Amino acid sequence: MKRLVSIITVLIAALAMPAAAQQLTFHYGFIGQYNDQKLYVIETGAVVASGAELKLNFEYPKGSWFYICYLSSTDDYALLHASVTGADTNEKATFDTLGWLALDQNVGTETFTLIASEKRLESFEALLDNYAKTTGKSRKRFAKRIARALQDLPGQLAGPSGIQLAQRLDKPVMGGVTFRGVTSEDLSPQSLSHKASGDRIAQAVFTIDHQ
Amino acid sequence: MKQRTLSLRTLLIGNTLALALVLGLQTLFPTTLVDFELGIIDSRFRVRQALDLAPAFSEQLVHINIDNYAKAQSGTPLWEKQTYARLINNIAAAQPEAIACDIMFVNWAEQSGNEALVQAAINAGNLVSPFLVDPSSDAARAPAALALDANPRLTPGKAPHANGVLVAPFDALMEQSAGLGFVNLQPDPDGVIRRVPLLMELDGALVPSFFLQALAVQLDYDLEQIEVSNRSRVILHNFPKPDTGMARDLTLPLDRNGNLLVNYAGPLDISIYPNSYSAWNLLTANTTLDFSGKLVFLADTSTQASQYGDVSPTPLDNTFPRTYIWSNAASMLLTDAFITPVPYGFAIFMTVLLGGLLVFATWHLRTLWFSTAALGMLVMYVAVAFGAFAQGGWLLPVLPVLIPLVVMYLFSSMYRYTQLEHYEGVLEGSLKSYLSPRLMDQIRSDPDILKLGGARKRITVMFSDIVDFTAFSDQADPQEIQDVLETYFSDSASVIFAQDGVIDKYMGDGILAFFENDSDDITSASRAVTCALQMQARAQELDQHYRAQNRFPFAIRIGLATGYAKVGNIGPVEKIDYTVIGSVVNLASRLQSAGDPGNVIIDEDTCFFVKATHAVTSLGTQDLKGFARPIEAFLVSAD
Repeated sequence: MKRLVSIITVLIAALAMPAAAQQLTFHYGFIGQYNDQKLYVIETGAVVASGAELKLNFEYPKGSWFYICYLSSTDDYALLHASVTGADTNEKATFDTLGWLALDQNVGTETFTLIASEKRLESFEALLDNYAKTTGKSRKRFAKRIARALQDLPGQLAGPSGIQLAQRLDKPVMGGVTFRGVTSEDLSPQSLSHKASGDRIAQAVFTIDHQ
Repeated sequence: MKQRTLSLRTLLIGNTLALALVLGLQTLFPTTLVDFELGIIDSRFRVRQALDLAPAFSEQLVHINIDNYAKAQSGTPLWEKQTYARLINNIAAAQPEAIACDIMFVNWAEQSGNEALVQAAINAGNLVSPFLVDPSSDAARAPAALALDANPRLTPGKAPHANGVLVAPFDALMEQSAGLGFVNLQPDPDGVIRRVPLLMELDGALVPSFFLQALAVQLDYDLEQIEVSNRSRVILHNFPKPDTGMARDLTLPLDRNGNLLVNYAGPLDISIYPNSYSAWNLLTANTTLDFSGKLVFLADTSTQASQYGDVSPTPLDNTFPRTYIWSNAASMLLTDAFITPVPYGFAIFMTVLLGGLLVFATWHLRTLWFSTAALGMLVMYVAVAFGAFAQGGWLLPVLPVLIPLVVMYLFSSMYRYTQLEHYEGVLEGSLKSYLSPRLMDQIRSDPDILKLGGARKRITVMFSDIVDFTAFSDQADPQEIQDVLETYFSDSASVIFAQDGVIDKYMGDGILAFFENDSDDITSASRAVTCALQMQARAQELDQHYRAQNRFPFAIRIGLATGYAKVGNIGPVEKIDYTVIGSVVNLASRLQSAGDPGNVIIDEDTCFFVKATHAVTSLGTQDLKGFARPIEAFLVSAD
């Protein structure tokens, strides 16, 4: 009898639990450079002056789709990066960077949204594509739709999915390898300082206060 | 009629019941008078138009009409999509803030030209497209291209609900539109479009009507700033006012279904809508136009389009293009010239207030003034309703106020009438005790005889007196005196009234009465003598009756005199008597005194009229007090 009860309990628990979704994790890092060439990690919300240089590094799992959506201080969207295909390489992860960027004179809050997805986000891509094509006030409507899409990224995928908050890594990593014991002086232009995870889709929102 | 003849309590209760009855019926059957009330609304539009008090149409709005001229010039009634695309491109070249294209380019099998239209929408960057929502339960789901995710969220129940979409433009055009607004219009029961919906809820999203979406694009207004409390309370926070450049919170005067009453600037006329152009002018680009800052409404207004229902009856125009309905609605938000429906509670308040005044008038005013005041009250309210609409756009309910008041007026009038009848009955009953039936008849037929003054007439005056009444009064019990007098006066009055006499007054035990002649009649003397003889006969009966009871002898003396006297209402206004004045009265009194108990003494003039019919014996001349010359007196006998 006890055995039967145990079996039923296990079955009920199994049915009640959602199907295990694929955990997706990517790493990224915003690296800044002082005038003396020293590197530093830029935290989200950090104040950055016009003309400052920064570099965005990211590494995402093989086979996933990765996007970087940028919202400027003038409320213009841009798709800074979109993986051409779900990368099918021999590497476990794909590392990439936007290279060194210099901030222009438009001050305000600038937002980078990094997204890794198990599936291609076709409607999201279409939105940004149309946004780029359209002109005038029609862009505002697309901008709203993009903003809503970014607020509800799991809604872009069919089936259960979920996003967890991005986390600061204990130590910066490079190419997926943790260099324990390295100091800030050892920070590399390829460093990754944060990670973001989610079920089937992961997202990190990074803002800088451009002064 | 004096107020004391009316019961204030009855008035209040009766009018309250009448009011409650009418309000109850109006609540139970709210649609009964709708058509009449709607007709009165239209009358206000027409009166306002005639008085040139209609609001000006906003200069921020432009109409591009694909009219009969444009179609005739183009040589075809059916335009290709490329033509529309070219038209939109040309409009966009005039740099308007928004283009509200009230033409539905649906997803036909024929798709040539779709690309050109989409490209025109991209080029313009401010095209607002229409679609039709579907409230039915089996409505098709809203297409994804409608992009409701760009719209504000709206809790279901706070606004009219749509279940889906009936018709919408093809997907690519929807995608590239700067906004989409629904173009559903619901006419009033009489088929006239007087109101437009403001917004609806579709799939949990706020969807604006066509004109609101067009304005939002024109003014760069974020629909997220709309606060929807319920169907009838919507606030457009920070809504721009183009002429001032300022933004303000706009609380829209919506009806209970969330509709905005359209404050029409007027019928379709170029003087009222000066920024109206034929699409042909734009297509041929032979006119250089600058639409900077403006909202352009583009629509098909040709006869062909009207056959497809693109025109509707409005209060001022039976075939008004729907695109102008939308622009009139937009004009209201740009100029703050709204029609504000006054709540139903106001109707109840006004009814109670005016009803109270009506009761006051019923209670305090005479019939003529009461009717005048009541009628004036009704006319005044209608005038105020029309004036408030013309000057301030306030839409006061008319029939919901007037009908209860008319019913209350009818009740009050009926009550007054019944009370008047009752009062007249009581009054007549009272007067009968004082006036002869003859005089009552005269008053009924000619109330003017009650006027102060009187007229000179030939009459016969009768004076009667009880013999030795003073001595009797000294000895008898007051009750017995009263009994004797009541019997005597009652019997005498009957006899006098029977001969159409008028009792002027009772003077102690004496009676002063007189007999008038109708126009050329000369019967007063004859009737007076007959009356006097009957009174004597009755006196003898009383004498026998009292003697049989061993009480006292009863006899009267009567004097009659005929002559001219002033007859009528005489005396100060504080105390007026219907009486006679003249020496003939004194003569009758002296003749009475000159007679013996049981006699009827008459003067020479009276004798002249009765000697042929009555036994008359001359008593010779008499020296009567107050008369300079001797008066010949005559004794009248019963046979």
